[in-house]
Amino acid sequence: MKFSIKRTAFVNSLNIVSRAISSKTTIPILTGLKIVATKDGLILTGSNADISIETRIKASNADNKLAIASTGSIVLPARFFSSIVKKLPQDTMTLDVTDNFQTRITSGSSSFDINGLDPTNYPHLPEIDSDDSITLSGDIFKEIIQQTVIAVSDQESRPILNGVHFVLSDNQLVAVATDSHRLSQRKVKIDDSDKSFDFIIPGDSLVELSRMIKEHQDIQMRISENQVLFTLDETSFYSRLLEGNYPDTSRLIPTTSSTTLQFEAPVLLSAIERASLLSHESRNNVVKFTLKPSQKIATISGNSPDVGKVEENLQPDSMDGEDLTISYNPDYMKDALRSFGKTMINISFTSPLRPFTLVPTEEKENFVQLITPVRTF
Amino acid sequence: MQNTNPIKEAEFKQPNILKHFMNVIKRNDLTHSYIFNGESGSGKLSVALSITMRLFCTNVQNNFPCGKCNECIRISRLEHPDIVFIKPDGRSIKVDQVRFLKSEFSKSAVEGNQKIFIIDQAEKMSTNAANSLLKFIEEPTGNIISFLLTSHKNRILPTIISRTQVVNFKSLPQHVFNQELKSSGVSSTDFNLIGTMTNSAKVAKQWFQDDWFNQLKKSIIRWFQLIARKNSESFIAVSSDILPLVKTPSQKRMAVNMMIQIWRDVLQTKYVPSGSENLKFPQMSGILEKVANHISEQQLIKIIEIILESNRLLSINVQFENILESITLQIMDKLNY
Repeated sequence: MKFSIKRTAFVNSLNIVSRAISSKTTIPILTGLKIVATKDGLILTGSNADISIETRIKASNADNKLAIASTGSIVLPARFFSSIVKKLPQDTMTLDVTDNFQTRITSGSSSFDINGLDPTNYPHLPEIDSDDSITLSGDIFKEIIQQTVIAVSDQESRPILNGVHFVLSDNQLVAVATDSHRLSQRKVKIDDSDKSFDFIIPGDSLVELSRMIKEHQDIQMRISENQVLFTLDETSFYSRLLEGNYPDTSRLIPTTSSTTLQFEAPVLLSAIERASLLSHESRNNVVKFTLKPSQKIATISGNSPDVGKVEENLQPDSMDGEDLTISYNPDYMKDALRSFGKTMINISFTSPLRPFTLVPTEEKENFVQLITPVRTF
Repeated sequence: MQNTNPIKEAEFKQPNILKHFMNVIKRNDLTHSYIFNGESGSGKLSVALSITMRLFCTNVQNNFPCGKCNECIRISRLEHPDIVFIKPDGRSIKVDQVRFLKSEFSKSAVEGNQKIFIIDQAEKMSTNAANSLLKFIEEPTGNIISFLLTSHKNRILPTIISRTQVVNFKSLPQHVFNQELKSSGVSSTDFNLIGTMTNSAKVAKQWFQDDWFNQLKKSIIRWFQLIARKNSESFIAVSSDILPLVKTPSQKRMAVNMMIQIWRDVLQTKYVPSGSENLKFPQMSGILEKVANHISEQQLIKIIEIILESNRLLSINVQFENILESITLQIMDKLNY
């Protein structure tokens, strides 16, 4: 295998696949980067077994200045290979694999010989049928990830909750995450899709994926038995799935309410942030809402006997229903409010010990944040 | 990393178990968790890997994996992403390793649709760790088979044992083990001695690296000769010869074991003067006989008791130097010929 390429183009692709490569792996070969040279161009692959990223550099794109002298493949130690490439002196570089996976990298007068690994021992990525795909707007998918991933559990006791549950049916994609204290659910219409899917993607994989989505970029999603594939232009992002049955979350979201509040999300957020200053210092991280719609009084208070007290009168845009006192963890509330951005939201309570919901005033159906209160008496 | 071919090793050491499993796979009767119980070196890992290869191999021949295809090669090198292999990192299986195991149990396979878990020295999991794995071992989601390898089944939680199928591995017959030792270049005079200390040629091979085993043997022999001559330099030999060689707990146990064996040889020469082939230190038969003639049965038994006591002292963390010195003094005291 031998090729030469414009160094900046190569470094760009190298940076993309390096996201998946970690120095802590159980299989030594995964600390490496796989390079395959075909007639059409280069394919770089990086993987940590959980996620795998594959990106192509096309020979047809003149900007890459890619010239393939002979085809083949090699696995090179990712960490110092990318350092070498970044520090090479000239604009172009040549990579030449000789016997026993010895690899020579040359650029200008500089030349490196490094030991590669046998590419046949590199894990095989699943071949996923290309017909069975749905196309999504990258911006929307990124939003879905950011809105749901906050509620993903980080506890090991129920590994299934460490992911986001995606269900596609009847032209609608539903994404749900819960850590059993709070829940976040987002629905999106998918045009002309008669397919139906049901799978769970690990939260960590989604966070990594969302960092890779550029603005106004379309992504294709395909699913196989054991992996999900997202295609972003020249790059393919594979993630393993979580196995098992996700709990039925549809019944958790209350449909009726006795007390409702309406707020500008950032206004409430800053009030909560003030109240949580004291609760964070205390052992029990709890703040309390006292709502009296009849007297138009809404207060947020925090009482941490070992630290001090805080109380603030809120000015909700509207308030209806019965009087209510409810306590909750302010961190859950903060995460939920941040996910709304600058929108008007409705908060609906049923009773002091029942979960309450936050929904945007417009398109209520599509986005719900649910928080379970804390019993304080 | 495993260099030898696991199928060959399994066929050599445990032909019956291997054949049985190959038939079980053919009938599709494999359950989802097994405990392989047997002394170290009895071929547990190679059988587990052979089973794994049988399941993944792309070119199964006569109901045996080919051992040559890409899948087989990656499995034998433990480089396959769908084979999770865990062994104790130091003295025990660490929390991080168990965490990794649990996360692997809940994730789908990387390449195909089946995953294999192999936990070596599974008895070295803490009770908490083992308990937290119970659920996964009992009812794995998806196509998962787990193998727990252990040489001390009684140290594994009964709740785990009851959820798995236990396969007992017989220790290697002496001649099979000797043959293995021979092929790794161990001299035949050491066979008996090594046989008392390990069943694993791999472990024995490690001992012979840097000539460590021979040095220890020589220093123990010298110590014995000095004692036999009632030379009080034997006391100094402890700190000058033996101590620099033993550092880890297992090395300490080996040194004590050698001391026991050499005195057992005396006992044997005294009562079964059948020749030197059963002795652990055959090259010493002359001096052994001399000591055996001079010493009474009572004295001999006392001496062996003294050395055996040191095992107990070791386990309660008495300093090794003190143990050996006290053994030496007590033995010298018992000898009065």
